[in-house]
Amino acid sequence: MTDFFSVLFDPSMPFLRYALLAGIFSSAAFGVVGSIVVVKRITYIAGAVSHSVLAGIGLSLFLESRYGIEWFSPLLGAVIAAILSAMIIGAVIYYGGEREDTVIGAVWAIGMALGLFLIAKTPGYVDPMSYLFGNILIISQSDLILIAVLDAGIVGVSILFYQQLQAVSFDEVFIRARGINTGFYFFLLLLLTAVTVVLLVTIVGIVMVIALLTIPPAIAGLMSRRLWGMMMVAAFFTMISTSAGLGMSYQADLPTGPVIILVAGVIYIVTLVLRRLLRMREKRKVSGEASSL
Amino acid sequence: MTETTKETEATSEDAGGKQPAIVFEEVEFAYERSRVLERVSFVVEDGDFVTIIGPNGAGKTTIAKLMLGLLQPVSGEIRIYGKRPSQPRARRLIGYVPQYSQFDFAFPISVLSVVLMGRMRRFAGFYNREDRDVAYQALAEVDLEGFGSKSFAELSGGQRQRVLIARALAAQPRIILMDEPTSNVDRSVEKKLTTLLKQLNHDMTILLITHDLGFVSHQVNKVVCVNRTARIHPTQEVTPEMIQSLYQAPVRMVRHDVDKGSSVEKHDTPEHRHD
Repeated sequence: MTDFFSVLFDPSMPFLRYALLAGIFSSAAFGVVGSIVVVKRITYIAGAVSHSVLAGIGLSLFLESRYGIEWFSPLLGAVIAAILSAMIIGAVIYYGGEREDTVIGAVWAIGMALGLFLIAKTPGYVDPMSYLFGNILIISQSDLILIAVLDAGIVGVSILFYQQLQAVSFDEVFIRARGINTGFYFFLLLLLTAVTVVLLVTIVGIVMVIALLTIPPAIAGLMSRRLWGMMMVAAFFTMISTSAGLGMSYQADLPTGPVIILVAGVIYIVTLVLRRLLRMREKRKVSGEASSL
Repeated sequence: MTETTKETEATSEDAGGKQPAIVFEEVEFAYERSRVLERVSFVVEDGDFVTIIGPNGAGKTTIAKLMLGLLQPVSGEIRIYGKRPSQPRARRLIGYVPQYSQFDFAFPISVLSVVLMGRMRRFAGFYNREDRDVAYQALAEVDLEGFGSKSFAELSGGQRQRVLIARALAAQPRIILMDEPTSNVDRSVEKKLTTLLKQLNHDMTILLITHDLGFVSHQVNKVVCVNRTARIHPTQEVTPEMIQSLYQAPVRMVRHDVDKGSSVEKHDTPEHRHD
């Protein structure tokens, strides 16, 4: 592990520091939005949004190499594609008409296809692997600043609208009957989810977004009795997963995204087992007391 | 009030200050092609205790949603104390209590947070001291004092239901609209609920959507029978056994006693069936 830490503080090698900071910064947003996504049960929307991000990245790469447009960065393309796909899905669900899961599936696949198509048409060799499976080590200083800003925005908006987002997730009909514009909060939640998904893509890649968005809240859900508590615990476990995952992947020369997910997954399983064991012990204790009476 | 029609102005004048709680006048509703409600007219007076009954798919929930302003009628007029259901002032008058069994029991939320939803602001913002006081008071009213910091998930079914009633009360409504209160609750919970609703009826109009007539018959003063269309019956002199049998048998046996001044119509028997 000394290797990892010496590189971490080596001034000539900033990429590892950027990667670590990116993981730490964005953990707060992941915990907050991930918890809402889990309790509101819209994980599948996050999945579709993350895959359609490839269309935005593909467009950015295509425009840059074909027409030399540099301001349209992959990250910007990802943000636009994520928001657009989230709003399309949201409109379909909110205004009804089509089957939800069909539209989500379609957005998922079309976004992905469009991205792969644009990448294929981009002159020169582009490896879609780093976008699909993430490469936290390619985060630049300007990316890091953008991540920090987006993260602060997500957390700030979530705190401001916490009560409303919680209420709409808990009982949408009651809130609507009270005359509150639940559509606004639904689309706000989708917007927050879309931006969070982009942050996640930069860290673990498109394919593993759902895992990092939902596993830490699932762990947190086992030990939290309040939504805000769940958010904080989820943020903590996200931070642990990304930091430990980064360190381990660097040390063992493994791809970062998968290692981060595996760390989160192992924590989840261990927590589940521990909880089961605790419950069994409590039960035995109770029944033991009962039989001794 | 600028948008109110001439007819409502007329009725509110006629009422002489005491307006009926709910007025349905020739209300029609359809989802896409299938017509759900036809010519539904009834009046619920202020202070009434009314049950809305009818078989599944008869349109009970649709009537509730129309009252709450969640659906708009195809034609006809609905007034909540003289106001259209979609008006903010009308929305504040109805406290809605949904079926407690539809909730995600794993949702991590405190009882107080649930009750405070009755005080929700229309835009961003936090609850203030007054909101909290009202919420605690509502909890006390449903006999759940000291439950504020408990988790909604750890309560029993009957307690959850009372939390949802407290949430409706926190909005300080004049009408309580409750959806299927007796599904999945045992007899003792039912009894407690009956007492509570009777108490609330002192200063509120109560509307229950239910299939369980035995539960409500002791205290209701009117029954709205829904089956695409709707009729309102006063029940002061009707025994529970009678209602029970009426509900199961063809309706020609029901005596639709006409109240003075109420909207109850004489029945043309063939249309009005409960089965």
